[in-house]
Amino acid sequence: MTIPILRSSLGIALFLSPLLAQQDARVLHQKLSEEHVAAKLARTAESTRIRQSEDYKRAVETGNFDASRELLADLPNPEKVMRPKFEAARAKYEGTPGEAWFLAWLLDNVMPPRGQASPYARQLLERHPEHEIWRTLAPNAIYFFGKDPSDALATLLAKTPFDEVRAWVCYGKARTKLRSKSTPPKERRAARAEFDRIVRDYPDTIPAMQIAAPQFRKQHLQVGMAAPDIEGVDLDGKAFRLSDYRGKVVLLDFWGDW
Amino acid sequence: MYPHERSLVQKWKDQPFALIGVNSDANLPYVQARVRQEKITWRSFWNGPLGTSGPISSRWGVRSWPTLYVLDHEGVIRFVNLRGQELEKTLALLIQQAR
Repeated sequence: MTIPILRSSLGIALFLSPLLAQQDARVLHQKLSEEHVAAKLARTAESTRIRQSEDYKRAVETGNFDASRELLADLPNPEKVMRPKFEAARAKYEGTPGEAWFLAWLLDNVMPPRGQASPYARQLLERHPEHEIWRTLAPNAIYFFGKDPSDALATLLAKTPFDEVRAWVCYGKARTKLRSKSTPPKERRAARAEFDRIVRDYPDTIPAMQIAAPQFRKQHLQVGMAAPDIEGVDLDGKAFRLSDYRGKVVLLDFWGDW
Repeated sequence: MYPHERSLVQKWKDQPFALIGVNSDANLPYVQARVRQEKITWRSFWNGPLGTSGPISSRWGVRSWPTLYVLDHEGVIRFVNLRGQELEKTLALLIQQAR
């Protein structure tokens, strides 16, 4: 009786261990990200303090930019402090899906040398092309792989299980074609046809929304038109609508803290 | 930008006026902390983890930040991207009409 129980619990343990490792990686990633946020906030507070100091104001007023730069030179660099910690965590989870979370942070926060592609993007693609992290990385994927990203993007397209990732990659490629003045007319037409295909094949994705945006603006966002409702959540996760504020004059402010 | 927004919210706190944000920071814990740090009292939608590529700004076709829409009390778009004094005067007029 004891032997089958032992055997099955061993089986469960073997089955669970990669899942637990992934969970473990998420927890560590969460902890390091919180540390990074705290360091960024400290830096912002310090930067504000310096900019409001008499020394700094005097330096700016007198045009002494060497002095003002000097005053800001000693600000802490959160990314530089956090990088070795994320590197160590990546190494710890190398080859497991959890590694992808740390690679994504490194890709976001460590600038590659000028003119070069980030090595972390390559590693993410080679080791974790199916990972869900690509759902947040996808809007910028076309910029990750240097001057000729086509092979890398083909790999991502072939391997990702997510429609929205495919939509972003196809959209990014077609948009690049349309933005470049040197694109010949035939390729231009192909890129526009690709936009139509994206809207048709991936109708509920953000790329489809962006492709439809010029038309949406014409039909719904002109002065004199009733503003389309927005349904969403606030920064505390509470659901609300723009139309909840009917009866009040509303200043709708698309903003970011940067 | 925050001091100006704060002054508008303060000035019309008992009037039919609301400043509603659409925040496009990808890092939610960071922006939550910044809201506390800067004592931002007005409410914002969150544009989601894709930041400036999120769903609300994508549907509205927003490509530069900040973008400002002025809606009257009936929800009609009256002005886009007014700034400074001009914005303040316009809002004051619309608030008067709303009362």
